Amino acid sequence: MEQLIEKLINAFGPSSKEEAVKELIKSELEQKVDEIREDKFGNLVAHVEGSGEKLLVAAHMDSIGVIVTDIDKNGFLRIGEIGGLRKSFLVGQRILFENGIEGFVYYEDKESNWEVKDQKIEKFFVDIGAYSKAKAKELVQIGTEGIYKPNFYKSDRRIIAPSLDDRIGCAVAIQTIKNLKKKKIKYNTYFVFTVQEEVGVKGARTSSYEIYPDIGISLDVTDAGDTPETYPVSLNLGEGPTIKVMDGGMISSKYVRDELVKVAKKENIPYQLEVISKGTTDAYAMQTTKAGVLSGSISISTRYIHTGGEVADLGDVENAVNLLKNFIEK
Amino acid sequence: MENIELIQKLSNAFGVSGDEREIAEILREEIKGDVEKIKSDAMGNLIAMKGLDKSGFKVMLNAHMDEVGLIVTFIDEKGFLSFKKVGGIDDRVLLGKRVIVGESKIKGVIGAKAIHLQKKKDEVEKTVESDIMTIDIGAKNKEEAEKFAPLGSLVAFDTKFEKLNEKYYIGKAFDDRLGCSIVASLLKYSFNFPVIALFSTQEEIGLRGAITGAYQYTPDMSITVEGTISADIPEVKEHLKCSKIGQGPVITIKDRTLITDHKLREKLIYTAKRQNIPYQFKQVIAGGTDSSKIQLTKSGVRVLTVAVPVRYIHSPVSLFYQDDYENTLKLLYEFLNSLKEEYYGTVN
Amino acid sequence: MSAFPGEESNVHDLIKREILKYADKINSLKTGSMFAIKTGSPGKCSIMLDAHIDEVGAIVSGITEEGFLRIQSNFIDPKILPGSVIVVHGKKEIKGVIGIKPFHLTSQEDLEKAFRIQELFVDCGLNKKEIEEIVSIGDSITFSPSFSKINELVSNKALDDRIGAYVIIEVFKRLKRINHIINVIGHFACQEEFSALGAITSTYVLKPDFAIAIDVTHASSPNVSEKDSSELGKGPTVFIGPSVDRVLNKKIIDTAQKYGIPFQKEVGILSGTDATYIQIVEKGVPVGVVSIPIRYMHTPVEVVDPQDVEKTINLLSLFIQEVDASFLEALYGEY
Repeated sequence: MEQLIEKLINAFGPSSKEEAVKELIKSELEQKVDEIREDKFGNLVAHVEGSGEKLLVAAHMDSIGVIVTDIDKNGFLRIGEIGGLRKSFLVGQRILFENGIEGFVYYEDKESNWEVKDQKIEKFFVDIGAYSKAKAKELVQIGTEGIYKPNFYKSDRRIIAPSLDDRIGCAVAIQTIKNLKKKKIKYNTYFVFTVQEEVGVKGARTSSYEIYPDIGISLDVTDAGDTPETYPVSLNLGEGPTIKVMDGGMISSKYVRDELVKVAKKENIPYQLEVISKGTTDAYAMQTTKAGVLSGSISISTRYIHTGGEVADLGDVENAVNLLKNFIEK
Repeated sequence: MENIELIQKLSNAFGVSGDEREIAEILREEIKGDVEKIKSDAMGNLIAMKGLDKSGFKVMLNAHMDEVGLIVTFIDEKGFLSFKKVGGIDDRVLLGKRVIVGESKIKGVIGAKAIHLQKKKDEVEKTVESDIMTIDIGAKNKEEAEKFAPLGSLVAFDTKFEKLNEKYYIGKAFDDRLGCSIVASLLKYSFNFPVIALFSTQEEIGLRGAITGAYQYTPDMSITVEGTISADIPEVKEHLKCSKIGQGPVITIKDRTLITDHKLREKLIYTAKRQNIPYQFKQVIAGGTDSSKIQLTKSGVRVLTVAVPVRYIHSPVSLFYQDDYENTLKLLYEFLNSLKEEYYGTVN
Repeated sequence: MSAFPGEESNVHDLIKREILKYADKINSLKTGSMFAIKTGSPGKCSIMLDAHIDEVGAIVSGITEEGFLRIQSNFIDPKILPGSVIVVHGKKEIKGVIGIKPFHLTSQEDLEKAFRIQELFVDCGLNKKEIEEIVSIGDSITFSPSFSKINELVSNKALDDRIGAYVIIEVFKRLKRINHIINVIGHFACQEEFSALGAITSTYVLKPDFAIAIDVTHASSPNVSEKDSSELGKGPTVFIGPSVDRVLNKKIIDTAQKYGIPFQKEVGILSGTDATYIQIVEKGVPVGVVSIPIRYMHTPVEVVDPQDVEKTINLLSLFIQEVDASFLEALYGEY
């Protein structure tokens, strides 16, 4: 699965500009699903037919990023946030813009202290090596989007890379589709690769309205709590995918949560129960669609989410595929 | 200047979030001869439709009728009114201002302690918070105050629309009466497609009216016309000015609530270039508009936000420049006129 | 009765038993909400009375080596937790104590720092192995029931918003003897405290023509100024502000004045109740909010005046009786 994840990490796709990721996923799923199409909002919908209740599995294609808001007279770029950037981790990041241009993020500092105080986005700027406004404008425009430069590294069973959120969820979805035994499918399943999750869980909301499933499961990442002196969260790398109980936006449907736990126990798949207080996933948007959708989530414990180097365990990813596959099959 | 009377009427009218009736009335009068249907809904939105006989693609034009203001929350024994803010207002613009209170539109002032009486350095240099400010309507006591300004009365700034000099105008609520005026003007024309005008309510307190308005009358694409932040004043850094007076309509790429449709925006820019209309981008990611809610209606709507640059929005006196208004109107007219099926099909 | 958001079915049977004789139809929804309907005559329009049946609490977020429970909560002020007895809803209900380091061992500095939720633990008197047999991560925690009568007032946990549910049940009892032209839907909402899941989805299902949320509101007490709150004993409060319906509110207030029911006014922008969400479902629903004043909201010792509850029941029952064709026209006539 590493190659698949690496391919996904390397694709450019900040919120609203997910085309490259879409194309990649389409090529991965050709011939493997009954129907693949793009919906009105831009989500990629892959349909695997089955009798039984309608299931929507969502993984979002977009990553966080930056957007150019100004180009000053010396060619420095000012940026705005796409999604929730960790501003303490922004300085020194290498940014890759949509047209291949690269830049480094620095910070205004009159005292020359080399310390990032007062982390307001307007104090950051990007240096793309342009020496004038005119030169910079040949390279980027106001509105050009950028991401943390992709940088995939695998160390034994762990992966370090930006955008594991949520390319890793996409990988789980793709691999599950590849592993599914058509004859055993007990749900009429729609795998929706959503757009614009990072800026308001948007693709999931419109897709859920259109498809209106009985059950919804999101595949995403969630904050691990196994680094030195960190906020206590009982989620560790390598102890299995997480089954969500509650996050910052929703409480999972007990039915979905219990069903997932049942499957995990039956198939001896390690799992962790997830209780976090901040952050949410596509499931949040699905839950309140029309008369309600029973929603839950399978997530991968990940360290340093929304930075240039997210870390997750391959074993958790493989187990997530296993869990989802066995949930969908009889 | 085009529409000057309408803008004046709209700006001077009372329409704080929650009671936009007066604005709806003015707009209704203005557009009734130009449209085929006029409707309202449970949130007080005003919806107008034309071109219903035309097939296919529905375009929504949206502007919000409400303005920021205050609401009376408590009356003390002496007849002074305490208030909460309706919409986002910087406390520092409130001291010493004239206001209009309630359905009976009585006049009042937000009093400020005279500087002679401010003793410590602290008091002089510290912001007065709005929850200790009071409105004085000259009542003798609580009973008298309650008669004229019962609890829950909405309060608007008491600012008259006027010309500042050659082409500059000042008044209140240009956010978003300018948008309302532009949408009303656009309704005078016929385009190749059905047009739904949504004059929404409660935008300033959470973009609320647009949610139900767009649900009931769902378009395929929508343009929200706004009055947006222009902070091109001294002491503001170049990259934080957001937009500039005199540089034309402001096109939003991203704000705090949405990213606008890339293809439609490119088409809009193409139109501006072709028709030689100046334009600029909103250069600070701030604020949110109805378009972000319309965007998520049912299975999705493709949206744009275009605005007139306005200085000092959400304060008692704002300012705009005539050419910016006219260019915004012109840009939208030319854009709508040139819209063809191929530009508003699917995302593909 | 305990019902953390998501576990409201615990309360369904009790409500069903109470309201069965007075409703024409009762149903539970998969989301965890339930509703009861009494048809009116001619019954062409319907009003939804909404009260939420979930209560604030916490969730077990971890189990330490020594068998203590870590907890997470978005609803409770951690400052009230030290020294509490709570109930953990595991395979069976067990009690636990949230205790802290003794006073004698605490520095002056630390005495002044309030506890944050991640610094607190629940002690159930069991070791890790024992507790893991009963409790797992994700299990809910609610306050131990703590009913007391303090003079004429009543104190307990979860008055927010079981008292609203009680009002609806009592209104249904009164409806048996009242002529009403509209259908009355009693909606017992799930997850109001968190995501308003019940309000949003049930409104889509039930499609009421208008709605009144019955919730609680802050009553004054020392350190809570009268500017920010209502008072116990002065009747229910009617919410006034831009996010409720003017015509509906006027009718509620007119009814109160006509029958001499004392009431108070609460002014705000968004009411912080299900009404805010009900109002914007689909093409919109006119809403109002009637609240019962309580002190110490979201603590185990919420306090209410039973007379206020009685007056609320009266007000709503009479309001339903007073709804006539001309009111319905005024409500929709603006469109």
